[in-house]
Amino acid sequence: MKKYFGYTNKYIRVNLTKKQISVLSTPLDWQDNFLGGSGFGIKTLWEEVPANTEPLSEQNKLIIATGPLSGTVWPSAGRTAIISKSPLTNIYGDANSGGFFAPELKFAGYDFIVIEGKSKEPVYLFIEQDEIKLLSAEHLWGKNTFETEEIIRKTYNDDQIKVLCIGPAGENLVRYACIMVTYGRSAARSGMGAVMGSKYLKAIAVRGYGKVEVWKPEKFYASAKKAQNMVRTNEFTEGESKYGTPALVELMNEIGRFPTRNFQQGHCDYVDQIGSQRLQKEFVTRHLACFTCPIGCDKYYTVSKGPFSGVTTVSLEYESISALGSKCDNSNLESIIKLDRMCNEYGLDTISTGGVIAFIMELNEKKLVSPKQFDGHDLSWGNYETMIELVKKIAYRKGCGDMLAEGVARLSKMLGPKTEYYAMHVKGQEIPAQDGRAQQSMGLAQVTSTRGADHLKGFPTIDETGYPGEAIKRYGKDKLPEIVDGTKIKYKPMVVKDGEDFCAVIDSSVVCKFGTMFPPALYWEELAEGIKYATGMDIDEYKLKKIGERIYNLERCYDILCGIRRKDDTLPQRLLKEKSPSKRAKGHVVYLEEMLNEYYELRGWDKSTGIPKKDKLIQLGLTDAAEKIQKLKL
Amino acid sequence: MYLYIDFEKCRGCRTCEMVCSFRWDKSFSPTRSAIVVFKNEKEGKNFPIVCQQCSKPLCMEVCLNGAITKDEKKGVVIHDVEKCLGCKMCVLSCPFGGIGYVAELGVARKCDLCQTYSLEPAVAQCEKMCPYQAIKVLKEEEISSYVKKEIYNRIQKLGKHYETLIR
Repeated sequence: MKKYFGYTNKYIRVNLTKKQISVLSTPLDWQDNFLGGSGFGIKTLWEEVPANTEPLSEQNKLIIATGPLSGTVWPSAGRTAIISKSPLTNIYGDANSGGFFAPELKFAGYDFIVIEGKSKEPVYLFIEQDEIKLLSAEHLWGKNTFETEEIIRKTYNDDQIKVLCIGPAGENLVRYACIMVTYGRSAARSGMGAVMGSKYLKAIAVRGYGKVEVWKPEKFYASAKKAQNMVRTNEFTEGESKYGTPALVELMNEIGRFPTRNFQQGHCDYVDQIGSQRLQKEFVTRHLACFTCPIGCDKYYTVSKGPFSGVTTVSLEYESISALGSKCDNSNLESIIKLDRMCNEYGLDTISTGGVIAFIMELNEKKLVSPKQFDGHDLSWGNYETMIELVKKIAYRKGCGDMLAEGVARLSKMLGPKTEYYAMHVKGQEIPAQDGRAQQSMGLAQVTSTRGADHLKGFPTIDETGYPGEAIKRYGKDKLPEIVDGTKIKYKPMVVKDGEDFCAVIDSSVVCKFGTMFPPALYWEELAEGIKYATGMDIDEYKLKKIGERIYNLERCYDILCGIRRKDDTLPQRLLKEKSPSKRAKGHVVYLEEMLNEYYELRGWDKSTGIPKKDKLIQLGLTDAAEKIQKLKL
Repeated sequence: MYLYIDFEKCRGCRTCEMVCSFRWDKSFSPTRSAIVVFKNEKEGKNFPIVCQQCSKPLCMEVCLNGAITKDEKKGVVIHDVEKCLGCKMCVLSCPFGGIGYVAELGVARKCDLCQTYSLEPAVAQCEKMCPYQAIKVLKEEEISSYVKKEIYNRIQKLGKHYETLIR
C-alpha cells in the first residue's frame, strides 16, 4: 500500500463520553489534499461537526494536529495546530502555538488527535508511545496552567513530558479561553480553551521516543539546511531574534498602526516606556527558542523592582503589550508583564482579554456605562489595578467577570445598541493590534479571515513598513511602489489572497509564520521542496498553492454553512468612517468595499453573497462542499 | 577535541538533537541523538548534555568488549558499534550522562564529534547547524585558553559590578 514519509500515518481518536480510545490510519487522501495541521482540522470539522453544532456541546470536536514537517530539522517546525468550532464566533475556529508539543506527538507516533464527546468528570489524556490513557484530573481541576504542567511532570518524574492544558478560564468556559502549550506558549484565539473545558478535558500530556522518517533524507536535509540559512541570513532576523515581537511596538507606533485607547488612535505617547528597547534593557533575562527555530523570538522576562518585583513571564508578545497596554492606555510595563503572566496562568487570550477591558474603559469614558455595572471598579483609562482585578474575575466568571467573559460582541448586545460603535470585533472576535487604517492590506485581512478578526490568517507584511526587496521577489517589480505603501489599496487584495493560501499551507505543514511571512525568507518554492522531500508526494509550487486555496475555501464554506455572508465581512464602523489621527494613517479609513470586491473576484466567490462559486469549488476538488452550498436556501 | 557549549547562548531549540540523530540514522529522533537538551522551562534554562571526551574515560574502562577507545591524537572517545554488547555499563558509568542507549538497535551511542561520520572533512554537524553559535568544537590545545576567554567575557558583561571586583 502506498504510504507517505514525513507522517507517522496514525492518529488518535478519543471519545470522552464512552471513554473510548482508538488508533486509526491517517487517510492518504487527506494527506494529498489537506496536508496536515489545520488542513486536517477543517477536514475533520467539515466531515464530522455539522455547522449548526453548539460549540460548547458534546457534539463539537477538538483537533490537535501536527504536519509533515513537524519533528524534523526544518526551521521553526515546532508549532501545534488546534481546531474546533469556536464558542467565541460560532464559526470555524483555530489557534496555533509554538513550543514543543507537536514534535513530541510525532515522536510518540501520531499525526493528530481528534477529541469527541464529553466527559462527566475532569480527565486528562496521557500518551506515551503505544500507551494512551484517560486519567482522572480531579486533582488538576482548578489549578493554573503552569501548576498543571508541573504536577503532571512530577507524577511521571519526567521533565521532558510535553503538556498542553487549560487553566481556570477554560474550565469556566470563558469564550476566549486559550490552551497553553508547553510552558507559556499559547494557542490563544477562537476560544479553544473553552471547548476543552466544556469537555472536562484538563490536559493532554505526551512523551515520545520514536522517530520521524523522511522520503529522501539527504535531499531533505539539504533543503532544510538551505532554508535555515535563508532565515538566519535574512536582514530582519537579527532584530526579531534579539527583541522578539515587541520590536514591533516602536515600529507600529511609528506608522500609526498601534491601537491605543480602543482604536481611538494608532499611536501612544509612551512608547519608550512600553517598547522593546526598555524591555530588553530591564526585563529580558534569557533568550529562548521553540523547536528547531533559528530565530528564537521567545524571551524570558523578569521584573526585579517595584510592586511587581519577582513576576516572570515567557513570550510576552507585541500583541499582548498592545492589548494589555496601549489599548487600555496602560503605560505601566511592569503591570503589563504581570497581566500577561496572569493571562497565561488562567489560560486567557491576551488579545481578547485586553480588547474587552479596553471596550468597557471607552464606554466608561463616553458615559455609556457606569462603574456600578462593573462591581464599582474604577474604569478610567490605564487603571491597571482595575485590570488585574478584572482579569481575575473574568477567569472565574465572578461578579462582572461573568459578563466580560462573553467577549466584546456579546457584551455589546447586553449593554445596548449605543455601545456597538465601540465594539472592536469582526465576526465576534476582538481585533488584534493591527489598525487597518495604517495598513490597508491588514484591514482587508481582518475581514476575510475565516476565524473572525485576526492578523495571522493572511498575515500581510509587505506593506507594513514597506519591504520593497521582498515585494519584488514575491510579486514582481511592476507592482512598486503601491504594493509597499500601506495607505494604498492597489494590489492588496492579491497580497491578502496569496497570504491566506500560503498561511493555510504554513498552518498545515505545521511551521511558523516567522521565517515565512515575517521575516519573509521562505516562500512557496522552499516549502514545496521541503514537503516533497519529506513526504514523497508528487508536489510542486503550483500544487501546493492549490492545497492552500483548497483549505482556505473549505474553511470559508464551513463559515458559509454557519451563516456567514458578505454582510458579515465587515469592520467596526470606527475603522470605516472615523479618520485615523495618527502618523501615516492620518486622514485615512479602511477602504474596504473596493478591496473586498476585488478580493471576491480573485477568490472566485460571489460578489453579492460572498459565497464561493460552484465552479471554483469543483476546480479545487471540493465537490461535496459545492453540493452542500448548493442546497442552502439563499 | 571537545564540544564546548555556551549555556548562555543556547536557546533550547533542539536543532542539535535533530541534526545528530540524522547523522547516525538518517531520521529524526531526540532519543537517538548523542546530544540532548534538558529543559528547565520554569526558569527558562536549557542544559545540553553531551560527552565530555574525557582523558581517562570511565566508559572505556568499564566496557567489557573493548568497544570504546580513545583516539589520543585527536582527543576523541570513539565507540565501535560493531563491538558493542549493549550492556549499558558505559551509560551507567558516565558521571555526565554523556552516553545514550538506542533501544531500537540495542547499542550505546555517544558523540564522537562526527569523526566517524562519512563526511569529508569530519566536522561536527551540530556546530554547523546551531542557529545560536552555542556549540563550538575545540582542539585539545585550545580548550584552556578558549574557556578562560569566554569566562572573562562573561565577567566583563557585569559592567560596573566587575570594576568593583577587580579594584
